[in-house]
Amino acid sequence: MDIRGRFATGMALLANWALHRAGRQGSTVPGRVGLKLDPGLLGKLAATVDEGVVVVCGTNGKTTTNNMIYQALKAQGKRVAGNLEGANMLPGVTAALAKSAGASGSRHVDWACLEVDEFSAPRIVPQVKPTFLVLLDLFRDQLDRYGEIDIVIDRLIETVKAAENLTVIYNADDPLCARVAKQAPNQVAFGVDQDLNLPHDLVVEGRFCLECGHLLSYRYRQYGQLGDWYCEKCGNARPALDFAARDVDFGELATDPLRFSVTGPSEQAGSLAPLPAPPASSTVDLSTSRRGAYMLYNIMAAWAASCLAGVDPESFQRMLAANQTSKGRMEGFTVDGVPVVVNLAKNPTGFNQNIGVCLRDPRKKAVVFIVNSQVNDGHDISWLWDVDYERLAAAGTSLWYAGGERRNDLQVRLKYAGIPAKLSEDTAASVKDAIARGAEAVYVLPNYSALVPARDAVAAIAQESEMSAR
Amino acid sequence: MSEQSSGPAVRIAHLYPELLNLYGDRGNVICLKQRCLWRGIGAEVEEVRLGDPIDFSSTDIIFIGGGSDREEELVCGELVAARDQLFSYVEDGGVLLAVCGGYQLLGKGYLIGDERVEGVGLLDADTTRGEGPRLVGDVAISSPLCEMPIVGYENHAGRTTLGPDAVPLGTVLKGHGNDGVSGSEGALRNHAIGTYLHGPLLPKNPQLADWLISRALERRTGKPVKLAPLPDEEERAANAAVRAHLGV
Ligand SMILES: [Zn+2]
Repeated sequence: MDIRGRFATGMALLANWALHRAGRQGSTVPGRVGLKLDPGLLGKLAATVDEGVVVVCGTNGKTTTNNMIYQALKAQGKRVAGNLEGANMLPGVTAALAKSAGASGSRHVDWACLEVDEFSAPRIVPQVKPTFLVLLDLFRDQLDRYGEIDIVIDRLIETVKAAENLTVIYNADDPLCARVAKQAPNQVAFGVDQDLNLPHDLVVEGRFCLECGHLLSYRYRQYGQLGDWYCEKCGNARPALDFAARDVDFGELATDPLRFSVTGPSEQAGSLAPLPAPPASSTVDLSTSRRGAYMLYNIMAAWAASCLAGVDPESFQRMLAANQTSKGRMEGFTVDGVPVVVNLAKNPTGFNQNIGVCLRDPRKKAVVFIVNSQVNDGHDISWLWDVDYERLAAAGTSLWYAGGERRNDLQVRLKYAGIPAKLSEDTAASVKDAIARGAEAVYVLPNYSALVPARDAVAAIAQESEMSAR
Repeated sequence: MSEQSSGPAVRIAHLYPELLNLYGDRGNVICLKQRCLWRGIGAEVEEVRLGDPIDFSSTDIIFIGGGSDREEELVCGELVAARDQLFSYVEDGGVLLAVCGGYQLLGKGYLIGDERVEGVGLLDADTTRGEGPRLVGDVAISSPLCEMPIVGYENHAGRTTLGPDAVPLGTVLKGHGNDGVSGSEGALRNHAIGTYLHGPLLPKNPQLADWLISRALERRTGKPVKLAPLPDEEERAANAAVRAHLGV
């Protein structure tokens, strides 16, 4: 690395150290400092990665998937860098690579796993020149910040078109991802090759053929716009799967493991691996304590990327078994003997998925919804009316709480779905109230900015109850 | 709802829900229906989809939401073809609510990308690109239709100006409204309302919902209607929370 790059890296790390000492978690400030001193810093840092860079992009599951790929490569014995905390714009990505490069800017790693915000991808991808771009899904999210999904797609298409040698590993069940991937130099499709028979939600965006505008048809639809889609008018359809999930078993309870098998890679996908190709069309059985259909897609994405990056199935399964849930992602606690699950639900798809999980749990449940409207959440909370709360009302769960800054809006939304919810100003108090009223399981479902405070509040009362039980 | 319905059912036509539901717009239909059912008034929602024959002869309330450019273009073509029917429905006192993109395409002209296209022309309103950024954020307006201020959320690039044959739905207390400068918001023609307050407008503004239901029932029965009051504590609290946030 040149002098300017080294200096910028050193200063970024100094800023990081100073913030750390001051007790502040400044995940973007060090990156900003480095980029100010050297706007080309990210490209220089990327040159310290020897084997390849994986970029993970998409609306739901970026952090989870990126972490899995990172851990899988580590389990394979690789040296890996990554932005595991989810700071996914230019400064966050820069800071993560600066940390791995060290103050002299000279420490090398084998792989870098980078979660990248959809709107930041056009700036980041040309600099880090990824080997693999993993495209998870494209759902409506944070609309008032970003405008419509069409804009995201157009920008991603320009980005992948311009990238030389890039392989896009994409969710072929999502017609929007398929549209983007089509423009890339190389493509690897993953998907679920069976009807999961999930209860249907109402999310409708992306249901049009992006080639001809006709309404898409489905042989089966999983959730949102994901499924085995095709266009009656022009013949556009889900591409052949290079990695296909089959024999999916969700189990009965929210605590049961998820099991499935994956066939892949196809011969064409295997030929895109930078190392000697993995065996074609082998079948791998995977299982995890993580739950939900979206987790299935995340694991498929992580396995496809890991496999092509040279991770063997044993290392990957070892990672899955060891990988505890990340904070607030289907994280389980026990309060006074009652299981309390905290899970991020940040948009209609996320909420509908969570509702599906609650519906499968036959116990007497309480649900604490928490919705904020900070910048990261989107100021506009109109999407609450796109969540299919009516389905949950029909399941007869008996205790409901509406919390967060937008608790009044949430309470009105729930009221019109036939759900009488109490206002909640204190998550811990609501969880305790639910348990006192006989809840056998409590689901705490915060959106983005509400997640950490809610999770910490539940963790604190879980610890209290553990202490008093001793 | 197990309540026994009495009197004529209110028939709500939700136009193109598969295309126009960009910001939770269906919340308005849910709200209208529930507020009828809670009072023991029957309510039926008919979803009109692209290509369906348009017949408003037994419709009491029409709702039109907002969509992306591509989707609005498809819808506008259908509505222009049904223009005469739509005009006579509104002339006859038919109730209509159009939000966001739905409002724009009922005007004389609106935008697809940067291109101006002809609208349905039901409202004397014209939408152009205008100067400056998108108009985004919480809004509060005062309207002669309700005693409570109407609150909502707007997000639009287009600027709408009203012609001499349109009256605004209300006056902006906080936010941008039709064009960010005139202080007017939305348009009202007879019992047809167009407004930029998108998404779930009615649940937080129960008086506006009830105004629509009352006009629909009056047209149906030919008699003045006084709706039974509902305990709207939650709705009022949500309305008040937005006003407190806006300082109005
Ligand atoms: Zn097509």
